[in-house]
Amino acid sequence: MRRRAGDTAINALPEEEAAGEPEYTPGSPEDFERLYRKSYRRILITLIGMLGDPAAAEDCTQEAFVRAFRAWGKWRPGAPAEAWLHRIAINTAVSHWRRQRLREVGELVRRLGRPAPPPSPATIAENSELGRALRKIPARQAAALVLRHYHGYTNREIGAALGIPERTVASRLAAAKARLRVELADWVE
Amino acid sequence: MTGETRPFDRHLEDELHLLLDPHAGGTIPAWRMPEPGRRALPILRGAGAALTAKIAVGAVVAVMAAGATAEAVITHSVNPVDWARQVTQQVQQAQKPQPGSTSPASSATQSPQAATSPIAIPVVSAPALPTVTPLPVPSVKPLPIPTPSTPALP
Repeated sequence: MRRRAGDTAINALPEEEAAGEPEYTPGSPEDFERLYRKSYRRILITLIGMLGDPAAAEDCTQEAFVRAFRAWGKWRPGAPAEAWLHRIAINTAVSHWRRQRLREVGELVRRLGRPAPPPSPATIAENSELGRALRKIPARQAAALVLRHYHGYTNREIGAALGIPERTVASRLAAAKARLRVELADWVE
Repeated sequence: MTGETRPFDRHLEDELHLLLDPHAGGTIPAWRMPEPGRRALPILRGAGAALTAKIAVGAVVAVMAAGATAEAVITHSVNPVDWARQVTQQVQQAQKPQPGSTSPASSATQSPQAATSPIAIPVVSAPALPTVTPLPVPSVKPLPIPTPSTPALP
């Protein structure tokens, strides 16, 4: 996996990472704030990739950090903190994704026979071919793809973030890519 | 990774960066600690709410099943109509005067020997309910409805 020049922009405080961060103490508000500043953007990017809606992703990211803060006292220092955060954030986003799907069905039923409203600027920004394809695959598969091919996480780290074994990560990634190949047939040709 | 998937992966990574990099440079909102008192009870939200609802439904079903079982055992029938009939019969039997029972007035005038007898068991009958005569319903005579007379045309 290649790390891109853009990665430095993703990291909130690259100088902190380079210096080697001290360990986090579970339950410490100061340490949580440090973790928040370090991982906020990466979490947000993952959720944008999953949901395709930057505003919804921001809401989910905030909600995930609030949930994480409430559970911060129970976090075990042995587990990677960012993978733990990703797990909470992905679960939050999956719940949002399910609610959104239900709402979309309701909207569709209500709008039957009427012209669709114009898309919001945020939606237009996400209406790339890949953005549309990512929204068609299951949210957890989209999360695995973003973690692997954008953040450059290893399968083990993705497994920790999604709460699944490493082998399942590989099969999930393969399934996601097979689905994307179908959705993005023009790419392959 | 096969030679076929590598170009696809590279293309996927390029496109992901095109799609997501514009969102990577935004400002991080300041962290505000959630207020401690604003957390809802766990039984009212999320999995707690679902569990609470299941327990409540289970308790109601258990109570109803216990009641139905008890009625079926008492009446030897699973038909609810029989249960209702049984209740009616029980009430009617309870209302009938018992053959060995005495009225409160007569029990008050029992002989002192009977009252002091060691084997005498006082029979207490239910106090007679006062008879209530229904009030006469006043009859209402409907007022005659005036019929409007149409004015004669000239």
